[in-house]
Amino acid sequence: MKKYLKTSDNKKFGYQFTIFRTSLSSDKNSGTSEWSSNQIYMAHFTVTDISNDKFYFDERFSRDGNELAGAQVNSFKVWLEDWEIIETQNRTAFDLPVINVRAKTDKAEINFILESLKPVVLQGEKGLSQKGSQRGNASYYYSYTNLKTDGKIIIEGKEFKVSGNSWMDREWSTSALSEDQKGWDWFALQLDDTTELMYYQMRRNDGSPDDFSKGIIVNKDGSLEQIKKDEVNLIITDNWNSPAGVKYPAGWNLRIPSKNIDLKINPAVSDQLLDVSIKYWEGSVNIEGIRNGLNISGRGYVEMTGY
Amino acid sequence: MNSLTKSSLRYLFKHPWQFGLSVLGIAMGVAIVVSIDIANFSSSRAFNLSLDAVAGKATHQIIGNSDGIPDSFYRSLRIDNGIKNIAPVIESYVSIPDSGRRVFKLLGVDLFAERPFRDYLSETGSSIDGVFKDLFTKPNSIILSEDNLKKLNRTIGDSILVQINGKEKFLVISGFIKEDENNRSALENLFITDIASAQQLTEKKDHIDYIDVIIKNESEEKMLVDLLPDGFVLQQSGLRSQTAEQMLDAFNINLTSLSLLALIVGLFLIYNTMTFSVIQRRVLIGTLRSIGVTSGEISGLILKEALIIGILGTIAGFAAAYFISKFLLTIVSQTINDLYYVVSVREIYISPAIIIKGIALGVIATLLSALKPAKEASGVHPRSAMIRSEQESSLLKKIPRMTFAGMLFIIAGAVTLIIPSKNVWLSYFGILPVIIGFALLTPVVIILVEKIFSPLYKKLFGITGKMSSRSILQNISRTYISIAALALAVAATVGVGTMVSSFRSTVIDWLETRLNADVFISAPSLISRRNDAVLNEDILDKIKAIDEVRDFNFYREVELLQEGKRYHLLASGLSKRSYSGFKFKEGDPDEAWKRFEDGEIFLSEPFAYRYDLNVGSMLTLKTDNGMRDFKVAGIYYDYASDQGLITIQYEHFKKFWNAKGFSGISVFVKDENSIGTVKDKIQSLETGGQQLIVRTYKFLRDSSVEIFDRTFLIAKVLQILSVIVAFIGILSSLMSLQLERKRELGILRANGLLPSQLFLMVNLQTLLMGFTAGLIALPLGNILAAILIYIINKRSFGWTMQFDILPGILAEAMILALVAAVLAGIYPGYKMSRTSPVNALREE
Repeated sequence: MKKYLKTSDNKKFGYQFTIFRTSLSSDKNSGTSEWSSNQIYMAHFTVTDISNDKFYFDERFSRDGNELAGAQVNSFKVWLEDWEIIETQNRTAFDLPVINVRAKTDKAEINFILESLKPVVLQGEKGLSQKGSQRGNASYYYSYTNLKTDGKIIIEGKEFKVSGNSWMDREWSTSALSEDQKGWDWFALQLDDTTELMYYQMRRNDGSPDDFSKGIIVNKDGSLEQIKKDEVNLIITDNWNSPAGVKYPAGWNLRIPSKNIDLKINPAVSDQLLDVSIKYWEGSVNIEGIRNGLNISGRGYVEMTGY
Repeated sequence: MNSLTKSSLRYLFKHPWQFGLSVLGIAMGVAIVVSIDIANFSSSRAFNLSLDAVAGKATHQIIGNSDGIPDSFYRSLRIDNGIKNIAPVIESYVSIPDSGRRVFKLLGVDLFAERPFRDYLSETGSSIDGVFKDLFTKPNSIILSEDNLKKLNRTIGDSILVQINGKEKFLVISGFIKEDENNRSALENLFITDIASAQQLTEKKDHIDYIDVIIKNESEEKMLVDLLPDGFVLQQSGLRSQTAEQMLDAFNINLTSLSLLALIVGLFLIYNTMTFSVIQRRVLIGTLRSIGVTSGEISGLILKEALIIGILGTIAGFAAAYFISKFLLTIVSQTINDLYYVVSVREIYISPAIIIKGIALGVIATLLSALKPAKEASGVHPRSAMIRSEQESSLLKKIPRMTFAGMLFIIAGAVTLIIPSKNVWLSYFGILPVIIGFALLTPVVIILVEKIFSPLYKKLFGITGKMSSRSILQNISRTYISIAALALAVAATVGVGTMVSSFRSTVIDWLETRLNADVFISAPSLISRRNDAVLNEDILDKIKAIDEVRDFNFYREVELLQEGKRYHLLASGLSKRSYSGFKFKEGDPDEAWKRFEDGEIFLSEPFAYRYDLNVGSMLTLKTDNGMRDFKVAGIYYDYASDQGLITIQYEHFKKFWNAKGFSGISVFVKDENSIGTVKDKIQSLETGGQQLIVRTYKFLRDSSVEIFDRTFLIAKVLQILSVIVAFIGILSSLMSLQLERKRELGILRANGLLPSQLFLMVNLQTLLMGFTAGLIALPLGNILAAILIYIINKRSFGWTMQFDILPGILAEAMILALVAAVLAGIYPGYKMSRTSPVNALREE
């Protein structure tokens, strides 16, 4: 879930909240203890305080034993300890329940109600999104690209009432990268004309874009337009060096001539690096550009791995 | 180096025997004291290290009820209350039958919660494939140190058959951790497993043992305490090792007391050695003084010598201590495992305090004991120093004063000892004057013995006999120290021997009254004297159903950790026929039993002593529903545990505690002949994998006595070691004494004494000295035994013991004194008889 929010007095925030579940074995753990498990949960939670140029992140792990973490469909709930995504009302919007997202660390806390404004987007081929040439390098992948979001953010003890729009991705897979791939740059952009654009560029070991890179445009009415790699021209316009000296892109020009799109994308805060067990940069970005000859702006999230 | 120092060194080298024996005497004294210190220190350090290793960085632990902490409570702390720095722990012990019953601690943890707590796990915790994956997904997987993997001769993927709570289970090795300097001691006896496996292995259904916590400040602590239900406590991590240490306190003190006894013997020998080396050289010193050497230079010289001997002795003593302590350590850790807790001690740890103590003993004590002889030697007029008879007659003149002073010392010691106090050190402090008193009484005893034996010797051995007995008196300044030292060494063995045998017979009497059932059933336990394993409750029903069973007792033992103390509570379901097994120290038995049935408690004597409780006192115990006061109905004699026990009736116990299962069951049979049948029937019960230890009365009694003997093995060893020290000391002083008489004996030879007569004379003399020493040792030994029994053991453990004087021990002591003396006389006697009078008489 990656989102952009602002307060009534125009303070701007971004957040990301991801729960990963990994099954360590295909066989069920035969143990009889309440703690017995073969499922590991990991969660990442970040808040970007754009107005103050600050980034908060945290990582958590747990097993699903002793009900410390888990997922259930009936009365929808996914949780890792007290970080959770939970169905709130008996009400659905476009097949998705209205949900409450809650997470907190010592410094940052979020508590939002999310309601989808658009139908589900099945990515790739009817939801099967191929990421590499080898078998298994694919995911089932769907998105809700625009969810109305209301709630509060508490940062270092200060509470802010916020509203805005969230984006939810859900994927499951065996593996994500093939041997010749190094990582990905993933764009989830919400434009002011109520269209959304998703584009991921799989990066090969030599840094060049992989043929399996692709994207989608979600129009205002929910209709979809696929984007192929060949249609896209993505140029890095700026870089940022992490404290450890790793160079990350920090500005892009994303052009899709076939769709009349020319966007300049820049990080809202340059350091949005998650220094967790697997390091990656994922953060809020600002968008300025031209679509169909008209000026357009927007906000989004970019995720970069494998640097 | 000036010529004086040279002359002193030359003296030492010219008398290698005497020099060597002095060094050896000091070395042995130092070795015994240091090695006991090392054994004590190493065992408690090994235990603390293993506790620290398990506690990791936790500042506190949440301790639950008698059955632990429910999983749900941990979950609610983490999820509902958002408390993050907590980690669930299940801790148990497993023994490996096919590896010499080696014991490992099984530590069950949740690797996801572990990272802030235990460093050595972080490596494993960060990778989700390989080792970690198996540990997590395959039940009963463990990881262990690489070192242990090799020692157990296993590889990854192998399984190990272990016994845990009396049941056999298989563990599978899923990986190992490489040791480094930081984690070595932590991993030494550790199997790490997932909390799920641990829960399954220990059969702690839905419960964990405790929760590790890292608390940063008081407000966090307060918040956490407010969340704890009744009966739960938050205690500091250090408290766990503290209570363990308290447990060992009395045991350590008793060991130390034995080493102190050895120390006193050692000190005496050092004093003996130094005095000798001065007395022997009175003539030389007189010569030096008469050619202008000042008295200050003389005492400086003697002190310098003492320093050399002291340093060499200390170095040798530390070297010997290293080897002796390795040996003692196996005995000490066996005893600790029998009585207190599971610990494996393989490293030897030495603290600066031990080194300082050893040096203080070896060097400083040697210097101090040389002070008096040095002062004497330097203070004497040069001319009289050269006259031998001077020193003897001056001592003879002093005897009445010495005797009087000896009496005063003994009285002072007695007064110190009867001061009412729980302080054990005060009692040791009281022993010293008693011993010094006896030493001061030695000359007067020598005179008496000589008076009695001189005619007898003359009658039996003629002039040779007369001469040998007279010369003890003539050389009294030397002989009395040797005799006193021998007497003290022998007395120490009598004291310790009598104490142990008195204690032993007290315990056997007690066992015979207390173990009044026929067959005893328990689960295999890793601590011999305690039942930490638990029997399933349904076993009792199955036993009841056996035809030949007439009646039964059962009990459940739980440990209560409260306010930094560790109480052992015994919940007894006693048949009335077992009531007679309890002998009360306080409280009317009928009344006491009536109140016991109403829910009041009994205390064992050591417990009541330790916490100053009497009949009618209130004791607050941590029940599973919070703290509760219990009234004491009686105090009974009990030797099962030096920690003391609280006994409560089982029915009442169940009202306040949830603990399930039994620690032990005992059975009365209808007919004595059916004991074997009952035993077999119980052994063949269907128990669902639970192993039962079924013992008959006789077997249990014998094995209890065996544990007792094992416990006191260390006392025996120390006794033997102190005899060796004493023997070396006696040997050295008697030998010097005789060797020094070279001239005198040479004159006798020149006057026609045959070599065989001379040999006889020397040996008759040492024999009489040994006899005198034995004569002094017997009363002194019994006094030491009485002090050990009535004062030191009472103060350390609170036990009342009967005093048993065993004629065997007394006879042994006398024989010991005589044999030591005779052995010490053989070599000098032989040597002197072989020396030609010409050589013996030749002046240097």
